[in-house]
Amino acid sequence: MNPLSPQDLDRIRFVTRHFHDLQGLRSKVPMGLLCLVLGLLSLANEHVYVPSPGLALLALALLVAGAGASWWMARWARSYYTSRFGEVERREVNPLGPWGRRGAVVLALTLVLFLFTLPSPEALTRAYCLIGGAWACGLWVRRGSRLCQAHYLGFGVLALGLAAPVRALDSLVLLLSKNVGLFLAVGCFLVVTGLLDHLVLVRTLRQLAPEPRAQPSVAPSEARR
Amino acid sequence: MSGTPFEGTPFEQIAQLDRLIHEPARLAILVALAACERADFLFLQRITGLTKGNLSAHLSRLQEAGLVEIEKRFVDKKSQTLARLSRPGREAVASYWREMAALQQSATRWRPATPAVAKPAPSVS
Repeated sequence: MNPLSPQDLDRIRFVTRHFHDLQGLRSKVPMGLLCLVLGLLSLANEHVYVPSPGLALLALALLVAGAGASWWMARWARSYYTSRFGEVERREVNPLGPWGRRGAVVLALTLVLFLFTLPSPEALTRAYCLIGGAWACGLWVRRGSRLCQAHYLGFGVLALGLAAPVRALDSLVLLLSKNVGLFLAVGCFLVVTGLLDHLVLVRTLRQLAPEPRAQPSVAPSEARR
Repeated sequence: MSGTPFEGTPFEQIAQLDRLIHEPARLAILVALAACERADFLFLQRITGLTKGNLSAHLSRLQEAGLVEIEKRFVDKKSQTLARLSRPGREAVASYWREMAALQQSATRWRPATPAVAKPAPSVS
């Protein structure tokens, strides 16, 4: 084996710790595709002024097809990751501790109660953007503030920017406050982050083990050194 | 396994490091296992870039030393080998990183001893 650099050890630690999170094709991309289908159906629903049973049936068929494709993709990705990269059982480490968990529950309940008091859909959308942006930035920090995970920081900053009470962003916030905008935005976020996470996983593993080399297996005496 | 505090020059300290852990392939395996609860053979092979034979030999060596526990099971009629770091293994890896940090500090502080200046020979008149 080649000499290990500290960067290699860091990569090994990162990939092992976040192995499940980096399997983007397994959950994020299928869920994102489902969101995109829902968004497109909502868009079609807004633009079709004469409802007919045929169109409703078509929409239902598209929805079922989208859900089926997402389910199939999730199943396929699961077997793909297992057969190609193996399996890792993650180590459950709760950074918050029991009191931290209780505090998080109280904070979440307060947040939900606060959201109910918001006067308009735009204010609610800005609150969602604030929560989503903080979550994405927090995820980036939790994954070691790495450049390869900067897409979370990018989306987080974008969402936090939308949450800012700037009049110029009102039209965009209004678009997001509708079902179409929300589904399309969440779908794009999930698909893009899922694909990028998958690329990070594949590329990092390729960096660690460039290609399968046809080297003779080492004698046990050498391994015992 | 060395758990004693270091003494001497950094070079002597390097010689005192636990060779069982300090070997690159085994260190890679242990670092991966320390970051999870347990991992299967294929994942360890992918992440370390070792061949099956090499990985198997290194895992056997770590198992003999009591640092790693190996479990074999069947999933969908296929055998699967899972490895996990034992409690002494986790302590040994933590101790190794403490030793490395101490070594880094002492290497930063270390200055080579100045050679003794030879006395000039008395002049013969």
